Amino acid sequence: MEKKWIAGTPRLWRDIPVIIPFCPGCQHGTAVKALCEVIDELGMEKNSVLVVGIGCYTMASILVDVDSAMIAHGRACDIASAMKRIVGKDTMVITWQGDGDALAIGCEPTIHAAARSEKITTFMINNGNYGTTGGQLAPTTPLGQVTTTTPFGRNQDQGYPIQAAEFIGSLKGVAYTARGAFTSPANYQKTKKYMKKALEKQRDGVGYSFVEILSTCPANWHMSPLDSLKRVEEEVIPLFPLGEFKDVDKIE
Amino acid sequence: MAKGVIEIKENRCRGCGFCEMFCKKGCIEMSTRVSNLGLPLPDFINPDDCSACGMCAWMCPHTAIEIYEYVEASPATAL
Amino acid sequence: MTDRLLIQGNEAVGWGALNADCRGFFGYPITPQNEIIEWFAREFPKRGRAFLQSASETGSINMVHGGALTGVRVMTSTSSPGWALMQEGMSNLANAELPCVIVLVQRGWNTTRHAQTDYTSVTQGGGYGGYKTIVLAPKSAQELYDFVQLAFYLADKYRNPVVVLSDAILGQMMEAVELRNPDFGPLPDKDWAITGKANHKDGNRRFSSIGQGMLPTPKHPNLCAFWGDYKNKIDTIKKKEVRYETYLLDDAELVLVAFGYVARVSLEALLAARNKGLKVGLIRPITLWPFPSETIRDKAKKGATFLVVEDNMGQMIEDVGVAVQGQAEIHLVNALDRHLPIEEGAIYPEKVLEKIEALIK
Repeated sequence: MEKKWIAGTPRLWRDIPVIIPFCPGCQHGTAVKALCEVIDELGMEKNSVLVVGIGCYTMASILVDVDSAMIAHGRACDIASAMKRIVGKDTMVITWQGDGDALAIGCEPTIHAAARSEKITTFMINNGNYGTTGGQLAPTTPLGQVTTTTPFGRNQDQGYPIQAAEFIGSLKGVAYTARGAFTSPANYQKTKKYMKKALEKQRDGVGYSFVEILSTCPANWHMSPLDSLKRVEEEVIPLFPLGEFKDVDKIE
Repeated sequence: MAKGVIEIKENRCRGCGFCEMFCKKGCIEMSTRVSNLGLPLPDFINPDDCSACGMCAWMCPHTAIEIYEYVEASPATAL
Repeated sequence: MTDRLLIQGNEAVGWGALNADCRGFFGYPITPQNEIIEWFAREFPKRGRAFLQSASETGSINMVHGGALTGVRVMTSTSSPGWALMQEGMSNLANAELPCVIVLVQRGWNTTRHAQTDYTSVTQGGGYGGYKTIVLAPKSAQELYDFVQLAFYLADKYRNPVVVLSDAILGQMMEAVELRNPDFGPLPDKDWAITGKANHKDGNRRFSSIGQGMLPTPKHPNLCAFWGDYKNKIDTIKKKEVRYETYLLDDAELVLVAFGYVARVSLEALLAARNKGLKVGLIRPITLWPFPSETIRDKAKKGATFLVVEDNMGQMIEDVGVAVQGQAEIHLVNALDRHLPIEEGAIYPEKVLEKIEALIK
C-alpha cells in the first residue's frame, strides 16, 4: 500500500520561517488556503498578481506563492486597476481585502473599479469588525454586536451594515458577485467554486468580479472558535445570505 | 480497515477544534496535551475508521493537517 | 533640427512624458493643471498607453503606485490641494521604493492663481515616515519638457518618486519648446517588477511592500536594515544630484536666490542692477531637494549678503538659512511684495531691483 496525498497544505502555500499570526479558529487561513487551491486549479500560478492591503489578511501577501504587493490600506482596487491596464489581459490581478479595507476607507476605489468594469477580481473577507486593531466597528458589523467602539452594541445611531455582494452587484460594470462562508465542508467547496468563477470572469475579460467571504473572528468576538462558527451560521448568514447575486457572461 | 491516515503538524496547530467538530467518523479528539504556544493539540484517536474524506484538512484554518489515502501500489513502483 | 512647438507649459509636460516612454497617466481634474490630464486623455489611448481618470487625487497617486509596481514609467499631475491628498500615496511609494513622477502645478493657497506656496511640503516629504523626494524646479516650458524626462531617469535610477514643481504661470504660459531627445545613460534592469512569475528570469515570486523591513525579506530582515539602506540612498542623492544655475556669481556682493518663474524675474532685476554698476549675482536651485547648500555656504563665507525671492511668505529662506549657518545676512522678497496686493498680482523685477538698491546702499 502506498500513501497518496489527498488534502492539506496547498502547493502554493509557502513554507515560511515565521509564525503565522492567525488566531485560533480565525478563518483567514482557510480563505488563503482556498485561494491557493483555486489559483492552482486554474493554472494561473505563473500569471497571477496578488494585491493585498493592510489588516489580518496582509499575511496572504507572503503566504501565497505568486507575485504579490502589500499596499496601502483601502487602495487595492485603485492599484489593481492601474496594474491590470498596464500588464494586460493575460495577467490575473486579484485584490485580497477585508471589510473595512474594501467598504470603509476603500469604498471609493472598490465602487469605481466596479463601475469602470475593471477586469480585476476582489476577494473581500468579512468578519464584522476590524480584527488587527482590536475589534472596532466595521461597515459590516451587525446591529447589536459589541465592538470596542460600540461598547453597548451597534445601534441605529451607527447605522446599518453594508451587504456588499448585493450592492456591488447592482452596478452595471460588474460581471459576478457572490458570498460564501466556511461554516461546513460543503460551504468550503461552494465558496471555492465562487472564487473560481470570479477568476474565470476576469480571465474571459467579462468585467469586475467580487466575492465576499464570511469569516469568524473568535479573538475579537470573545468567543471560542466553535461558538464563533456557530454564530456565523446562526446570526451572520441570515443577515448576509450566501449565494451568487450576479452572474453575466457579457456586459452590454 | 483504515482507508487513509492523517498527519498533524503540531507546530502549526492553534487548537481551534474544527477538525474534531467536522470529522464525521470521530477519528480526531482534542487532547489534554498543549503546544509550545500553550494551545490544546488534537489526537488522531481512531485511525481505523479514517476514510480519508479530506474534511478535517479543508476546515483546518492553519494548514496543520495533511491527509493521505492508502492506494494499491502501482506495478511500476512495486517493481 | 528637432521639432519646435509653440505650446503651453502644461502641454510640454505631456510631450516630455511621451518622449520619456511614459506608459501610464492617472489623474484627476484640478485647476490650473487641467491641460495636462486633457492632453494625456487625448494622446495616450490612441498610442496604446494607459490613461485613467481616477475618482480623487488619492486614487490617482495609488493608480500610479499600481503602474509603478509593474515596472513601467507612470506619472500623475495635480495642483496644491490635490498634492495634499496625495501625501499618503507619496509616502507609500517612497517606502516601497517605486519610481514615478508627479508634476505639481502649484496654485496660491486655495485660489486658482499662481504662487510657490508648496515649497516646504514638497522638499520636506509631506507624508509619513521621513522619506525624501527629488524635486526639480523648471522655469520655462522648455525646462518642463526637459525636466519631466530627467525626472523619469532619476526616478528609475534611485527607485524613488520625483516631483517636478511647476506653477500656474509656467503651466498656462505658451512658449516655443524644442522636442529634443536627451540621453541620460543606462539604467538598471527592473527585476523587481510585479508582473507575474512567468515574466521573471528565475521564475521566482517577487514581493513589493510599503512596510519594508516589517515583513522580513532576505535583503531587509528588520526595519533598521531598511532604514540604513534608505539613508545611504538619500546621502548618495544629496552628494550626486544637486543641480543649480548661477549668474555673475564670482564678484557678487549681493546674491539673489530664486527658483521657478521668480528666477526669471530675478534675472531681469539682476541685469538692471548690473547696468547700474551694482554687483549682484544669482543662484537658481534646479533641484530644490537636494538643495545646493554648499554653493550658498561658499558664497556666505566670502561675505556676500543674500536676497531670497519667492512667491510665498518665505519658505526657501529657511533652507538658505540652514545653508549659510549664520555666516551671512539674509533678506526676503515675498508674495507681499507683489505689484498688486491681490491674487492676480506678481513679483515684478522693479520690486526686486528696489530691494537690491536698498540693500547695497
